[in-house]
Amino acid sequence: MMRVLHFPNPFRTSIVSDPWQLPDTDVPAIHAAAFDRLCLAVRYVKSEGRTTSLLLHGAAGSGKTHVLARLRSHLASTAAPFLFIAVRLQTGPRMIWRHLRSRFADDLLRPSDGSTSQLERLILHRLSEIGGVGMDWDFWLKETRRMRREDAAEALFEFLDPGAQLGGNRRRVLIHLLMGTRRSDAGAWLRGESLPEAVLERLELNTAEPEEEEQEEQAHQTVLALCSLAGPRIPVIFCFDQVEALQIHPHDETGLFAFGQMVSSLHDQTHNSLLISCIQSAFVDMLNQAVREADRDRLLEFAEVAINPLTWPEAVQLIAARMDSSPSFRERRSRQSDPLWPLKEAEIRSIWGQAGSTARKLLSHCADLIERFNFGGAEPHQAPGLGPVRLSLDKFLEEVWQGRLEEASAANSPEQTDQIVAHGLPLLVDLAGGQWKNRVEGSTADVDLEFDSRRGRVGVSLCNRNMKSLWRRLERLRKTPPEVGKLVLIRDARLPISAGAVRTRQLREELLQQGCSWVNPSQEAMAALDALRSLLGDAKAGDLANSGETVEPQSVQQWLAANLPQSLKDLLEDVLTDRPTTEAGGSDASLADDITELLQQRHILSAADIASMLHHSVGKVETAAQQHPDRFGVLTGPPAVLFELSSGSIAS
Amino acid sequence: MTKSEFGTPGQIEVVLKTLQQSEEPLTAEKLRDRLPPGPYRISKEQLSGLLEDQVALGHVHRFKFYISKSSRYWTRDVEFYARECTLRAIHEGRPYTQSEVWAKLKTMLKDYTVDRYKQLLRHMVREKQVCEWPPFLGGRTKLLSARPPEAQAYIQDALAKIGKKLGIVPEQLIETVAELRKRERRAVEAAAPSMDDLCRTILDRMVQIKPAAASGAPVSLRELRKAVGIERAGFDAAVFHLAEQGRVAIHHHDYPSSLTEGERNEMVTDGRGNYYSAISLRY
Repeated sequence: MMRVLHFPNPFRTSIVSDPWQLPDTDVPAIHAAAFDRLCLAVRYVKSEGRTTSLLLHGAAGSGKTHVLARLRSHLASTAAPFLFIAVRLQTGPRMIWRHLRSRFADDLLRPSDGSTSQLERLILHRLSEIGGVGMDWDFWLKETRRMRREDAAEALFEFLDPGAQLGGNRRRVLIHLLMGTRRSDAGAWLRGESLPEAVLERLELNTAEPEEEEQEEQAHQTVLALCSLAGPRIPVIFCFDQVEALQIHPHDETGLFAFGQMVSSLHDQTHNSLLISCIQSAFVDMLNQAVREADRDRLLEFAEVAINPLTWPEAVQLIAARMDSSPSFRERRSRQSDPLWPLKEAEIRSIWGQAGSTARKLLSHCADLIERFNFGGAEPHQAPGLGPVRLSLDKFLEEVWQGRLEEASAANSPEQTDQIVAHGLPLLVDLAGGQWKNRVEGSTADVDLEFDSRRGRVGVSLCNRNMKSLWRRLERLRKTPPEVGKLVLIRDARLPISAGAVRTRQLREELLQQGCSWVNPSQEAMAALDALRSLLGDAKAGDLANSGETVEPQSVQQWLAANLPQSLKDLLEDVLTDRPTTEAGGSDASLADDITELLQQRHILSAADIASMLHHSVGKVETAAQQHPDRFGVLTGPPAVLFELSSGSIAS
Repeated sequence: MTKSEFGTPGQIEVVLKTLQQSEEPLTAEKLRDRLPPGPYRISKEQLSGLLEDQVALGHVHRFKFYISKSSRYWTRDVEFYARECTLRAIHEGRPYTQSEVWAKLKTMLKDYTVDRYKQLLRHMVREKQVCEWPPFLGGRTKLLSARPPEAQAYIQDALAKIGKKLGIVPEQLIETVAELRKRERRAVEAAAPSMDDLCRTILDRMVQIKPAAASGAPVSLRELRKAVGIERAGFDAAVFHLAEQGRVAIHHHDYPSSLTEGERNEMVTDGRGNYYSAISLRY
């Protein structure tokens, strides 16, 4: 008779994957030396009033992110304020500052203790620094908000930013965020998203968006301004994770070079930052080769810290702590003399190599052993339907992909499209193999990506900013066509060019007549591309594991290449081949834009109603809808009905 | 539980549980024998109908016949079954060639063609469920086993083959090899530094290459190997010796297959597919 026990499995949630996540259990003795160095570095930044940098490295699954989470949790437990910014470097080299700005803003607005955001905590602390002792600044903020006293907030910023280094727009946005007015739009601006002119006016901001080449510089300046807002006594802790994800292919050095330069700039231009970069030990040689020597010296100025594999005594402590984290387990274990009960040392040691083991591998192995114990010693795969089975690689990747796709579909918005395409498209082209290579330098600032092959050169221009920026970009491209064989203009299908933007539509028409391609990737394609870059980023950084075993990026690439969704195959073809794009251009593109705009306002309409509103025939509307199944939902009827596709319908 | 004209929800549940507990696919007849007596032991015809219903719903998988002429059924799919059969077939004894494994299993795996089965084997090798052994001396065919390649098997095979060529018994060959090893060891011992000396040199060089190593910063094993400048096996052995003593930590490389052979050779290896790229002092 099989014994079936019901011990909870304390090893199933194996590792910390986000430094904002609180570790389930923490054994302070493990990686204590590395943790102490990090704390020392924080103290150094505060006491010396200057920025420094350290490199944290270890094998995949060794616990780099766990140590960062421990640092954050430790700092949060003290009264001393700090800013904590976690950045996964899933981006392209030409957008690295924009990516950092976006992550900085996200974390700044993230509630750090229940409901107060890091930004609010920062401002309150700066107030207590400069205002009188004994003031209740929480009360002050609540009252200022309640009474809508923007003048008080203005006065406050005069105090916080006497040299007006923040600049008018940034100061205005921070006042909105502090006062709680138009928070969503202000947050989007702080992240660097393109906002319609009407929204910019409502926020009382300058409506002129920076030119393309200035956007990266503006992001750079915003990051520096936010650091300076923290003042000299509040350390800003940047944790750069997944540095490996900056590589398009194993010999690509462009992203790493840009990363080195970014760290150098932060090092030299701020006075209160700690820059922590996390990489796999095996990647160190590559990083050293790709970054300038001066940048490398800054990267590891304070220290190079190793996250070592566990020793056996550390492993015993970790296993015992995990099991004792469950009260029922702890109660039963208290009656046993063996610190590892119900596990056996010999069974655990079966995975123990000459060099010890990483925490991830150990925890995953213990999870299997607990399952086996629960099933009376049977191998989990011998207990059908009860225990976990190590999935085959294909099955594992299929499940992970599905999960990523659902996450990406739910979170996807057109504001992310530039970042997704700039990072994801080169990965997609590389994945597809063949002769196309990503070119490092674009021929003009308006060409964001270039791909080279013997068949010629393809330039990609991202056209997802607001109408004024789009108009200016199209104008420049028309006047000075870039030296590429084929120019592809990409604008998210959810960002129609409105009928009122007559000149912009005309410019598009002229560019199409010059031979450019107009591609409107659907939400489905963008979600898939986002999922693809997230999965590859995790694999490259060693953060993807199937039951404790790290999954090689090469295997993920092979699987993705064999299972590429149709939406991405179409995107690839639209960009690289000479086939006519899904957007034939001209009046067809304009009609599709008009329908999109109508459906964004009304969500569901009959084809007849649309035809009447747009002064077209019903047949033409129906044809346009059939040509764009990824942009509109269609109920063929009769009567035919068109509806707006939501993220839910895309995911399903 | 889904309804069926061939059984009540309770009967369906018992049938599925019984199938789930089976270690292999069962014919309707065998499955019926395993059903609990009473209302759950339904007629063979009713059971066949019920199983086909469940196949259509995707809860049960149908397998081609094996010993009897009837279809077999299981809650696991064909690939799971093929993997299980393969692991059982190569679990013990000597390693087998791909053709030998297929010959053993082809009657059981009628749902598989030989090509599809070869593809499955390739997947299992890639996922490290099955270990691929290099050909034996003079052979050209790779072998398959559930265990990693064993040096002992290769030595025994080689001794038998060399003995046969020379017309001497393997024991004589073993004596000759032992004598040669003794002489070699004496020569190496006379020339090579002791393990303690070697370990000391490695620790000293670590700090010379990178002063920060003294406070735990990792050092590239490739650079350290160059700086120490001794033969490969001795260096690797000393690094493992230091690691086992807990004086250093060595960092595993997770994707050695992505490297060139030259790059792999610069790292430290235990000869079992594990490669290490960096070393750091422990406190």
